[in-house]
Amino acid sequence: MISSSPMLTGLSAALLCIAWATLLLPVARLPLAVRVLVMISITLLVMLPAGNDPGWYTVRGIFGDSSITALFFYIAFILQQNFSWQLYRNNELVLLRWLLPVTALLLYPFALGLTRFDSYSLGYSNPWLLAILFIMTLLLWWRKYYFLTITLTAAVVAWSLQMLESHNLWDYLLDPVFVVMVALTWLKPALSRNHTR
Amino acid sequence: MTIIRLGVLLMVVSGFARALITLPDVQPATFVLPDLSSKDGNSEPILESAFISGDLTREVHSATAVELNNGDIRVFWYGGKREGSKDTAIYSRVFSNTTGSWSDIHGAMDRQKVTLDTRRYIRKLGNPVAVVKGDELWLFFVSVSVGGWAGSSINLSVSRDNGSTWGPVRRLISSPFMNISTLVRNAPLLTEQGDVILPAYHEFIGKFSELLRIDSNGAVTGKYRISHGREAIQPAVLPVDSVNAIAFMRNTSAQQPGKLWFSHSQNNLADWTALDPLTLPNPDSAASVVQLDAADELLLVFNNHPTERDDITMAWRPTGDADWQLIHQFENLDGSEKIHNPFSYPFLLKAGNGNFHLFYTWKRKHIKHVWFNRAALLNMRIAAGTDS
Repeated sequence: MISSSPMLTGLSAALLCIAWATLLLPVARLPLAVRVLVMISITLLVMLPAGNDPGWYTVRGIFGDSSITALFFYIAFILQQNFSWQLYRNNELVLLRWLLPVTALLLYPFALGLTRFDSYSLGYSNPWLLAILFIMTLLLWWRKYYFLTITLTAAVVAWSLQMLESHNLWDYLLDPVFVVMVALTWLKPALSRNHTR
Repeated sequence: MTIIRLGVLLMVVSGFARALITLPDVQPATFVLPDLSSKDGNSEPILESAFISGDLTREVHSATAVELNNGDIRVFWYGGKREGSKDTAIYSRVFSNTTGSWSDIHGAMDRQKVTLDTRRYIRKLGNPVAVVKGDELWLFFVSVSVGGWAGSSINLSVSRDNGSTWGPVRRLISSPFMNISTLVRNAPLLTEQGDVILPAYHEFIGKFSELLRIDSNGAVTGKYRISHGREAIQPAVLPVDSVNAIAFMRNTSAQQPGKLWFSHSQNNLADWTALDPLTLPNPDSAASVVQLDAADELLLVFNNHPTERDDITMAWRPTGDADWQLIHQFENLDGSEKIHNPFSYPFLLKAGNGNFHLFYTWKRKHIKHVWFNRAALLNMRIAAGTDS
């Protein structure tokens, strides 16, 4: 379980910070050794105590826990940008850039009280939400988008195992920080081109 | 079909099959109904009041109380240098049902404990509410990591010794938006299924009320929306039968301000009527309500003004279709005083012995306790001309 393990929770906060640093800083242009040093430094900053508490307490206090899909994406994004290890195809990233904002639009306005309908409440035990996700995952598999297929399946399995504090499936599928990050990779295509050099 | 392709398909099918098998089977909530029979045999009226929050902190706010299994009343509030300061903590003390005396004040929760237990940076605490669940006392309260109260999240801690010591604090996840802006203010309800129904509200972008369903492990397993938009917060919820409840809410509306909101569920906690303004005013402030001898006979304590919190008043409604009648004014600001929102956040508790305990914030400096019984209530009604 991620949320019951301080080490895993801390590491997931470190992943979030490294992914953001990779996105916003020109890390990919640095020599490999420096890139590794930057990542180790961020990890230590996040994991080691600053004052009374580890830095990841602050990261978690502000941003909450990352979704499972976000963690998969952060790992793939960091590896792709820094080490040119391609875990997802470009078409998958393009699809994710559409899929995530659309899902966010279906979730956040309603969760924040726009209407009487609350799409977030469907995430507790609604079999139809699971069915839609299953069909979507099969379509991804059919198109050979294996990274997204595995990521979505992992999120659903993690939810069934209650690996995060939340018992709501939506919290395993997406989070606002992840949505903003993927949107930024869209708005900054130059960043995602770095790895193709 | 390659081995990898087949393997991925097998993983998908088995993963989703596992999720489907373990899909929670959530039964409709049925309330544990309170015992409304009158037990107060004391014919002598009791109407006593006292400041109970001591002088540990410069400011105090948001008192609530719960009757323990032994009949004592445990009250909670939060206090600090000021409302949002880093030293805010949750304090508590116990009113003895047998001696009528108060225990010492002790700190029930502080931000260091909440930071350590939830593994999150915590800046301030607030709004405690508690419920007795079997032999346990469950304390819900909000905490903020950054920003104001709109950045609140709900936490839960359980005591197995009536609130003398508290177990680990766990965070309730109730919003997909970084889990911010869910708050509590009024008393939780219990269900026959062993769950807690926690009245909650949001005040980030939307200002609306809802119910959180919390299982016996302390996890949120469902949500039911009472209102939406930016109209109503701080629901005070009462069960009227095993499946229905009524809710009174603080009016935060810009379009239709000044009246206390009301709504009732329609055979399903997910289905509530549209907000209905009562005849009673509401200056965008909290109200508290209890049932008397029948589910629709109510006592409500509120600020009886559409814009100011200058008084604390009690109203009585004998039946569901009767008008509200004002029966007592506990506070009324002297016209010469210039204090912003002097009286606020009333919390009324009806104890098992038929006595009533009212708590409210008094000029932000004190929590005031008013203790009255049935005979005193009858006197109030007679004095107000609603009873003879």
